[in-house]
Amino acid sequence: MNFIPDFGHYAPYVWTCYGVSIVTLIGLTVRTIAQSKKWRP
Amino acid sequence: MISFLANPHRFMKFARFAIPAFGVIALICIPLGMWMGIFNSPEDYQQGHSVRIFYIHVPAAWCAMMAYAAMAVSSLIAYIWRHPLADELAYGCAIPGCAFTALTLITGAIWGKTSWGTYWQWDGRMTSVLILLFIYIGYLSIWKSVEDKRKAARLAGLVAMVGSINLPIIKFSVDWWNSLHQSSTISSFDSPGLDSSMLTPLLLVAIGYSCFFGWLVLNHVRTSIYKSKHGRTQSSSDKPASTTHLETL
Repeated sequence: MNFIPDFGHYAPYVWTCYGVSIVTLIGLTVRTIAQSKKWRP
Repeated sequence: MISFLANPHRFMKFARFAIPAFGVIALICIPLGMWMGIFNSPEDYQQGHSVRIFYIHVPAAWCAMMAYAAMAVSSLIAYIWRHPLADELAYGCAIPGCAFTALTLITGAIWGKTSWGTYWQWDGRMTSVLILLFIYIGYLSIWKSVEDKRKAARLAGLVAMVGSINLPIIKFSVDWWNSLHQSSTISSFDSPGLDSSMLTPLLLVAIGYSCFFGWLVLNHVRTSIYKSKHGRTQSSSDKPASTTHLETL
């Protein structure tokens, strides 16, 4: 198993999808934690 | 259950253990499912490696629809019992729901390019999901633009309830109209139509996304309760009061 698998010509499509998903999840997490910290007594 | 959690004190007790539980499950399932989708699942005989997009596209679509259903039901509860916590729950569902819908459209367009040779086609499934995104944006815009939060909640709730007609359209669009989009891969769990090496990462990411959604929504409602308490404390000490929707609680 390679550390970064070779998906051939599909690689940019697959990695873009996973990248966008991870960025979205991180964005939602950071926003939620920031709001929670701001108002938590 | 609904009336039990409608009480903010009971909700806070529930949230104290539910939020970390959802967070931990999401933190385990999402990376594990994505890791399996990338490293530990086979290539599709027709779609090749592009099938790996399936493991994030389908759970995002499920979550987008689940978030909308939760938002519409919460709005209905708020309409009937006029409980502001239900309005906050609905609003809390809208932000992640909108994000999951956008994620569905982006990953779907990229997958479409590899499978069909086009990013977009105005067919029933894709158009109805785009309409779902517009409804989410409209719902959030009402909350942001109307200053009186009670009025905003009523108007946005109405949009959420009327817009729920779009959910069955999304679900059955591939059966009703000719579409590039394939029909449901998993119609029942008895015979899912998928090998376990593909089903496992799909379900792991789906469970992870669902728990992540729960974590986000519960955090939002808890924060709104904090805000209302903060607003009450400020107004009792003669400082300018913040106008939060939950001050009636």
